[in-house]
Amino acid sequence: MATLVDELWNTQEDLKFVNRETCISSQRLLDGLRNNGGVGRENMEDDYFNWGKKGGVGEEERVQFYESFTLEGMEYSLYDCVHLYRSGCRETDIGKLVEIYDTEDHEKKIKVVWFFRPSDIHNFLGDWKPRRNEILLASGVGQGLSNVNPLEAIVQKCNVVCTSKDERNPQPSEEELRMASYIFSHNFDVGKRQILENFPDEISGIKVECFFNKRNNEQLFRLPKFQTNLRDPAGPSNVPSKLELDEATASPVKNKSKESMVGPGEQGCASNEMLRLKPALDGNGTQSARISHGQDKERRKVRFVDQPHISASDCVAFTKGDASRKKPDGVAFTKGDASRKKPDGVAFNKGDASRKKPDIDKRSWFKQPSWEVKLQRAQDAGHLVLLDNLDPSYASSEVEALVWKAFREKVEAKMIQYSTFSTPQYGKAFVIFKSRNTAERVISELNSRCLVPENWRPVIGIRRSLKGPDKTARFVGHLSIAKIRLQSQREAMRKAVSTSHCSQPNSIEYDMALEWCLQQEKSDACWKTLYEKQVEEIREARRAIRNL
Amino acid sequence: MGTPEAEYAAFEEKVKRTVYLDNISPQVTDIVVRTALSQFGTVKNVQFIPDYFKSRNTAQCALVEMENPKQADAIVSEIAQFPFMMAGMPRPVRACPAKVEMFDDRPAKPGRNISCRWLEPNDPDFEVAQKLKRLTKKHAAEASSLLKQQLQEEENLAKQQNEALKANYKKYEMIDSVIADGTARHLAKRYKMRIADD
Repeated sequence: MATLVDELWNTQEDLKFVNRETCISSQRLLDGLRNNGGVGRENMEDDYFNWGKKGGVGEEERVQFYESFTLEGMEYSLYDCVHLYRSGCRETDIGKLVEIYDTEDHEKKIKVVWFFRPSDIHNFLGDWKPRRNEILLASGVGQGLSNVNPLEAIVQKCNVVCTSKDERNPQPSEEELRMASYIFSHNFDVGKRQILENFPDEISGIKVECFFNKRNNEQLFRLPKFQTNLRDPAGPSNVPSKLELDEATASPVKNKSKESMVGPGEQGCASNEMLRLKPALDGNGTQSARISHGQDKERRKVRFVDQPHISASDCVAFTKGDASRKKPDGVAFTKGDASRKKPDGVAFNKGDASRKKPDIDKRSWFKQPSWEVKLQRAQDAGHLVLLDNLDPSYASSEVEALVWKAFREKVEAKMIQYSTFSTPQYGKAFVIFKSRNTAERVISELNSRCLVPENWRPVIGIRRSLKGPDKTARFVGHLSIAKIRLQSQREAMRKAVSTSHCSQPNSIEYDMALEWCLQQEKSDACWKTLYEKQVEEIREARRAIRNL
Repeated sequence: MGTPEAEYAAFEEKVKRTVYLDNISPQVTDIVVRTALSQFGTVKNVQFIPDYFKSRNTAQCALVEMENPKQADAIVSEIAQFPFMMAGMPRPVRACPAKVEMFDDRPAKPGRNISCRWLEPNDPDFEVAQKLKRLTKKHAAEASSLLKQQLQEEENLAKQQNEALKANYKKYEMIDSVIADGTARHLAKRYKMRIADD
């Protein structure tokens, strides 16, 4: 077993990335496929390599970062997924470009975060069954997460679509899924060596949103008007270098647009990566795409920097900027028309600040005090009635309907939540009436006559006074040493997390906890017998009903 | 939001991912529960169940919504195996999978029609209905007395444990002080024994 593990982890080190020349046979093959249209290979050398958009400059080593480059007529950008050739292997490795730079000695390097094929990590798969074409993104810290390689090791682009249900991941459409060469929904933590479904906020120092599916920018749809919109399709951040970008890449783009007509792999790539516009479009179209891409990157970068690092608000920030736009479907490109299909992730782009987590929290803060406040007010004013002997599975709305049918009164009702101390066979609900008189009338009616719903449980109405729980009282069962209590309590409040743990058998608290568990089991048993007895009594009484 | 069936299905799905905790100390807040349970997975929502009838019961209960049913099950099984302490010891919290009735904002189960009728005193079944009502009240009284008794037992247990703890602590303190002020060393020299901590 050890040898297999070594094999797994060592192979990454022994990787010899070979220069383009030596693996030219595979390239020739690919090119042959691409050049079906007949663009000659003469200008291949010219287009072999060109730098694209510049990025920043490295601090210590004098390196120049780039955001895109063209290799063999194919344009690659930061965060594209690519196939990399490994000498001696039949299969290529798949990685995501996270850094592209040019060193002082003019060596072109790329840093990739790896995707694992299931066969690469067969030792750690466990029960996890990979789907067809499923790969895993590397995450965590450790060997195998990422590598720096010579740029020439890139063989071609790879269409990888993320199907994770993570909130930050734009969900792919059916088309995108079909076109994808590979999909991933889990990540493999190289430090813990585990397959995880949750994605951390950062992988290799890069925000995880860059690894998810890219959001497509509506900019791309203004293709026909590209010429006029050369200055600016959108967005505040307008950098003159974009125009250079346009010129510099003008020629390879033209080639690309013809070349990429064929080749199955290519097709997939295009719809995946945000900007890879399809061959159906003319060169103009592709250019505008590139510009918007650059701009979008700027905007996206700006957004990420400004916002605090909370993934929920990052999404919010991004969508706020796009509030007016819907998310276009990447595949619409293939059709070559600018009509938008209904995007899948519309929820993302509603532009409202209430993303899932904060939304639910805020709603519950808002709701609970409000109901409680209402309850308290109703209680003080005498409008509150407690209904008992309801079917516990009733919903609050059903209770309201019942009251309406019985008394023709519109009320607000809420079922009391079942907790460990509620009797399971009885449902209770609080009903707030409009006036004190109504409440009294209802109670007296319920007492004198019998209201019987279809389940033959006569409803009881009583007044029960509310008493809020006493939060300051010391909790029965939590002990502390008197002397150090004051000090530790304050600390414990501050670091509440550290005090929550599973007790291990080697401490005195464990024994005490077990005593508590025993106590709880005993009381549970008591309750069970009581409830059984009660159910029996009810059944007994119901036997006397004549017309059910 | 959609058809009632869809709403109910979505609600049921939520119930499957939710864990019901009780025996929570009243000093525990939303954040404490969230951070404590985030060891097991992503906590989506924490809702404390308010106790409207102050029954001398200081324990709180809460519904914690997790990301998926697997995480919820993991919590329940872990807490069942090892006593889990939250914001204090040694009374552990208890966890069980949530039930539909625990949510007061639940949607109505589709396919049920509420109907009712009034029974007048001259109705043959009126007596039965009255009897059922009386039974309800009786059961409620029984439940509350059992609850009182249970709380009493819990208090006894807590007191007992407190005593034991204090006694233990006193012993440790004594040992500590004896070592600190040199008495132990003195005695050891006298009796030619070692007092190293091995």
